[in-house]
Amino acid sequence: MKLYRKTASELSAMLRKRECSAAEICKDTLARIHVAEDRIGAYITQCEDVMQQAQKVDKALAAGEVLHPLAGIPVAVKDNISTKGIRTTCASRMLEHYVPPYDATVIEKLRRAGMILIGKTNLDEFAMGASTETSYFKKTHNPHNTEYVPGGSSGGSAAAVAAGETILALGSDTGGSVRQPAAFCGIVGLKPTYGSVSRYGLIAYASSLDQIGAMGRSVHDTAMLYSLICGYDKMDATSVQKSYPDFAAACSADIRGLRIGVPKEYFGDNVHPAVQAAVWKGIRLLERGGAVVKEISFPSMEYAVNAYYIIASAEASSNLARYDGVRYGFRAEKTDSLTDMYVKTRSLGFGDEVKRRIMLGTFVLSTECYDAYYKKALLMQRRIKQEFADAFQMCDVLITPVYPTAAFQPGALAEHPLMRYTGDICTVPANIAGLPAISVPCGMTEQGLPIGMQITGPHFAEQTILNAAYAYETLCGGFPMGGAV
Amino acid sequence: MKIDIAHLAGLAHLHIDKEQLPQFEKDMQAIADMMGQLPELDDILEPDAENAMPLRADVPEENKFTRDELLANAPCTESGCFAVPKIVEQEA
Repeated sequence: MKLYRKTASELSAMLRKRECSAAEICKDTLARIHVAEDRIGAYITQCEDVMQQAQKVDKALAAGEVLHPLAGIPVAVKDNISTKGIRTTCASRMLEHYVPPYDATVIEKLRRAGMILIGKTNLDEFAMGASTETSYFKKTHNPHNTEYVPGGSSGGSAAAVAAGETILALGSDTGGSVRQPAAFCGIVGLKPTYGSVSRYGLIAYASSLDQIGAMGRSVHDTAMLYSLICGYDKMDATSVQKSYPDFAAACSADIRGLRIGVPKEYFGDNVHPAVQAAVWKGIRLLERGGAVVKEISFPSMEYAVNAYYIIASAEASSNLARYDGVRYGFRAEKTDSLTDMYVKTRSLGFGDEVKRRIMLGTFVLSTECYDAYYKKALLMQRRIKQEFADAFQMCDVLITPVYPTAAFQPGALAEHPLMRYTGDICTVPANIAGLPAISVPCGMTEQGLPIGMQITGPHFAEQTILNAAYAYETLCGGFPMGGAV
Repeated sequence: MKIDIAHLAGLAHLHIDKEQLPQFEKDMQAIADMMGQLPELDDILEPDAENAMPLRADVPEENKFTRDELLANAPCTESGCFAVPKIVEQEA
């Protein structure tokens, strides 16, 4: 029946009308994985109890129990989110055999809702990268053209959703890691407001920027998953004490009067003309739908990447100090002292990109550099937050590209180490300011690769950006599940 | 500012092979130069009093994990403890 091609919203309705069972959805999804996974490589670990999970949901439905709308819907989880009893590797040799003794808060929520955990998806090692190429285990391929990368770091999650190897997925976004792979794979990816989704159990990269996000093939699906995972959690000290509405139920395509700001700095020479054209086409469509468009200026945007990499690598160097081969993870053999064991463990356990970022963080936090780098970056962060606050006085959302290009081929970033970082220019500002932002597909390149449009809103304005995204989806006639695979 | 990989690696308990040093140095110098391009801002950093993180009450809680669960991922344990290479030198 090709149930794997349907959205969560459709499947949820079908389940309730007994037009299909959770077991059928899962059987279909597993069959799809069997066909596509060799060419895509989205998963590091596939769960073995998928059918048992599905049968439990079917039993509960048959018994007339009232279940969460996402019960019985397959979900894939980025492999830096802790899952009790299922190994969680961060795509690193360091955690190759690590099996968490607890579930992340978001996983507890998925399980309680009766969602079906399909597997753990590939990522750049410790979520550091934009192409999923730095994974220790495997390469993931873009479902639209397997000669291209899926983006990153949540590349496995994005590719799995796009290829029909799951219905929904969780990713994490520190500098664009949900939005950019969503754009590359032609799906929807939401990076929520910092503090709205618990980070308990998310293995830390840069704690003040990390946020778990939702990925799906439609805006409504993404809103459903976000509604499930958001909320206050006492296990995360940065979690905000606040209640949240049902974002999916409140989705509205009525955007009459919505004020869209278009910051010209996001459309610089470095942004490919095809990307600029596609995003502008999207903005004009929303304008025809009743939104009001005004071009604005965001002067500090050019410094966002610099500030981002200073803050992110500083926090990474501190967060990754815990990998010492003592309590969990890899330990090097044949060592002759405790220090020697630490050094060999870390040198063999981490890949080059992780080492680079740890050392960059060590550099910017060193006594001689602290004022020239770290302190300046924090001041710039304040300035950027202020510029966003000023912009949101004049408009309700900002619309920009997600990434300067569509997907690239493997190796492209290795040749240009700076591009590895500067490419994140459109996504990092939202992380620096803690704002919610969503990526929606807005067109294709001549080569048939998807392009993403980013909608950013003020803190906790998820409903506003979801509505704008939903309006766009409705106006453009929906996001077809394309792809070569 | 000049990047000294060998020094940074030492601080971070990492070892970079001699052959890899020039490439690491070149890449990281380019990145550090880029990161260093930040303007002087006439501003001061102060704690964000409006969004202070709430502290939890200082009361003991039952640990939800057993000792065995917490030791299960350790590369080496001994008598219910984490074990590390010997750190006390023996007298000759």
